Amino acid sequence: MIYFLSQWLDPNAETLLRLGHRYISFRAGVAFLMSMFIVMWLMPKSFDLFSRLGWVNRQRSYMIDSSSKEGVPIMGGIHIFMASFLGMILWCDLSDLYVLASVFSAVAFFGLGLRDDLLKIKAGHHDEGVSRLTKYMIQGGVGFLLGLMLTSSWGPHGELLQGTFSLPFIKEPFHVGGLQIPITIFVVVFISNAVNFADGMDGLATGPSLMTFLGLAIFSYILGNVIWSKHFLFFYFHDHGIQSIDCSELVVVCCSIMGALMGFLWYNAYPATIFMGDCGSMYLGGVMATVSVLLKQELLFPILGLFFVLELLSVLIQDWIGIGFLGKRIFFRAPFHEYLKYLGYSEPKIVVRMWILSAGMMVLSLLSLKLR
Amino acid sequence: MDRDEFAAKLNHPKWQVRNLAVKNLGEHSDEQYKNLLISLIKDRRSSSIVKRFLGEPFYQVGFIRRNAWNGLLKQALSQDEFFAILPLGIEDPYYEVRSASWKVLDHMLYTRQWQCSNEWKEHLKFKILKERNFEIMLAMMPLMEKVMEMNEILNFSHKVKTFKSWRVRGAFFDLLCNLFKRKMLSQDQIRAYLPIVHLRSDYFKPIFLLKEKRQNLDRELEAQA
Repeated sequence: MIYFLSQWLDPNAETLLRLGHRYISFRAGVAFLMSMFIVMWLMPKSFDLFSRLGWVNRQRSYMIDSSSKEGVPIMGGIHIFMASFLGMILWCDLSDLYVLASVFSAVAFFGLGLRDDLLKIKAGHHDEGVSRLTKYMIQGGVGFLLGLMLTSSWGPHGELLQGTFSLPFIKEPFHVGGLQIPITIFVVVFISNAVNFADGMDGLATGPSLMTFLGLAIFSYILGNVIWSKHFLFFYFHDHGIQSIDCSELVVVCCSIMGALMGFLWYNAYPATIFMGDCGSMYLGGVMATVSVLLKQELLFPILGLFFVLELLSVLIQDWIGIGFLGKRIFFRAPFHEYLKYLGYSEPKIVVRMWILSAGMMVLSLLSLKLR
Repeated sequence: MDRDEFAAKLNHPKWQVRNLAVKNLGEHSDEQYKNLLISLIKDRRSSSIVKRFLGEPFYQVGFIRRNAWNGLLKQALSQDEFFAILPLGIEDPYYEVRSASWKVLDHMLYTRQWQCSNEWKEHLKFKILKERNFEIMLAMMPLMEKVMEMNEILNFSHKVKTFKSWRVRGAFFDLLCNLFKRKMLSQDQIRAYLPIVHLRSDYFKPIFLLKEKRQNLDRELEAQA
């Protein structure tokens, strides 16, 4: 919105807004700070309201020693969404298809998470949220629309890039054609659920999400910049040279979310005074998946978001292969953070180690920019 | 649940239903149920992975055997009957069954004042010294005094001193504390071995003072009521 307003200002006047209009980095920085301060300012005002509404955490039978989490307000995801959404609306170019796709998926996933949270609160039980089928349908629906967009001529990518994947550490994109739609559906469902599983300890989902969005923001900046994308040969086709994508607005999207997460971490750091709830984790996972898909870096996610992948895989292996197929536990507990807790690691240690793991993986994913 | 219902549930094709029935079975002390639990412990039938891929149901799963072991706690079991099935538990391929069988053994030795034969003592001692799974070690630790000499227990500190899981080292301290309270070990004996065991730990327990105070208030209110 401010992006459009700044266009009406005197083009000869070097005002702050006109400068900002020109530079992605400026808008990204302002969006980051704005989202962060909004969350930090708004959060304490909501504690009483959330407690009065009964939006507080209850003990869960499957979690080890969850009594200390009892009574802590949930639904901090509302603040993350509101602040980052405002950042996107105010500081992004809303005519950009990448931004519109991100905003659409943000609203869809936040709505799904919010509904899930409200149903659970109403029922007073953690298993009484939105049914699995509905969840997968909505997540898959968003994935389908994204996949359709990326394979169609009305999508943001040029003809050569439609229906292609960028493989980490490999220069030339890989053409899959119409298969991109089911793969995108899978990626969106996988990532959004993975982040949801990771939200089980104070700051556990927040830190790795920050690292992942930072990695995605760097990728957006490089891929959306003509000079850098040529330097790193994105996206290189043997017969047609380099095909650039204009995805730099996604930097502002990522930075808005990073700012909101930073503000949220202020309160969510151990011992947490608020949790993000499904509305937060679903929203983060949904946007993470959308940005990865839009940047054609979905196959980089197992590196960039290794922690989230470990979380979901541990649950799938335990539930499907272990209990469902072999009739025994493969891990002592699942997801991965509960396994570590069962081994006897204290919560802050697990959380900080997962932050370190995520930071390391982000650096490794950045290496894939050059090593191709 | 009556006997017919139990029988129906124990023959249910879904192992989750059978598992629930076994849990209920263990709640009742009954000669017939005891025999059922023993037969479940002995049942090691399993489908091959290939057959499982083709959709064949489970015959028997570790969870059922584990719960069958736990169910033995309330049964009027003789020492001979118990030791006859014990090898099945401590040699089971699934770790949760092994862990449960050690816990049941510990419970039986203490509550029913059973004594292990020398042959059994040697066998269990061998198992304790060989074990690496922390969950099973935790289950073994309390019954060490029943199968090992005091100097052997003290020497065991050499095994646990650098054990990765602090919980095992913690359980060892509990054991020493217990033995000291019962005057089975002297202060000097324990002090000689204490520095050996490493104190590094990946865990601490936070105290939320506010919540503690609220709980104190709740307790007071309940006491008055």
